[in-house]
Amino acid sequence: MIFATPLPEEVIDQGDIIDDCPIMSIVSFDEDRLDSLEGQFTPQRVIVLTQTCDLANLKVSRVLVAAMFEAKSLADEQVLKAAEIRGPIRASRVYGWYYLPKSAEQGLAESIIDLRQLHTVRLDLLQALCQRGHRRARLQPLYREHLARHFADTYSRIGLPAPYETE
Amino acid sequence: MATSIAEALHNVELESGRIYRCQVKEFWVELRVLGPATEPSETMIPESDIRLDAWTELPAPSGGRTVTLRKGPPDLPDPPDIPAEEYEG
Repeated sequence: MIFATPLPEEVIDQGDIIDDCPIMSIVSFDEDRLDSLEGQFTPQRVIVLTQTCDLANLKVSRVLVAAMFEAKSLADEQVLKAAEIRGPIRASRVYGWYYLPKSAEQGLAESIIDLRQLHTVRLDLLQALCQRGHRRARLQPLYREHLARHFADTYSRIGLPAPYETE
Repeated sequence: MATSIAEALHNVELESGRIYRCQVKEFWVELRVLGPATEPSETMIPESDIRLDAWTELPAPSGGRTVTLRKGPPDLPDPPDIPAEEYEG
C-alpha cells in the first residue's frame, strides 16, 4: 500500500500530504524600501519532508515541505508533456521532480512533487490543519524513503561544467 | 516507400561523439554518434540509468491573498540536541 489515511489527531510525520497549507511568497518589492514588501499567501497542497525521527522526538518547531501539483493540470497548462510525466519523471529520473500515482481511496490524482519549491512551515500550523481534516494522506514507508532519497540526490548531485571527453 | 534509418542518415554530416536531437512528425528523436571504432554493446550504460536535470520551472502558487509584510526579527534555529559528552574534553 502506497498511501494511508491517518486520523486527524495523529502527529505529523514524513510523507504527510496536507491540503491548504498557506505558502508565503514575495509579490513585489521596492529595492530602496526593503523594510516593507508586498507578499501573498496561497493555500497549497504540500508533502512533509522533515524526517520522522526529528518529528517524533519533537526536535523541530518548523517543518520542511515541498509543493505538490496534479500532473494533469501541469499537462493541461503545457508546463510538462504527458509523455514526460509518464516517462522519465515517473521513473524518478529527473532531479527535483517526484511522481506519485493516483489513489482513489485518498482522492489523490497523479501528482508531481516539486523538490525545487521548498518551504518551512510552523509545526503547530500543520498540526492545526491536520486536526481540521486537511491531511489528505500519508506516504507509506519504503515509498517515503524513496522520495527522501530522491530529495537527497537532487541536492547532493555535483554537476561538472562539461562531460569528460572520450575518444 | 519506406526508408531505413541508415539510408536516411547517409547524406547527413555526422560528428563523432555528438548527440543530435530533432523532431520527426510528433516524435522527438535522439541520435548518438559513437564513432567508427566503437561498436555498440550491451555493456553501454542503459538509458534508464541516466538522470536528467529539470528542463523548466513548475508554476509558483498563484491566486492568493496579497498582504503587506513588515520587517521583523529572524527566527532562531531550533536548539540542537548535542550529547553532554561532546562538551567534555
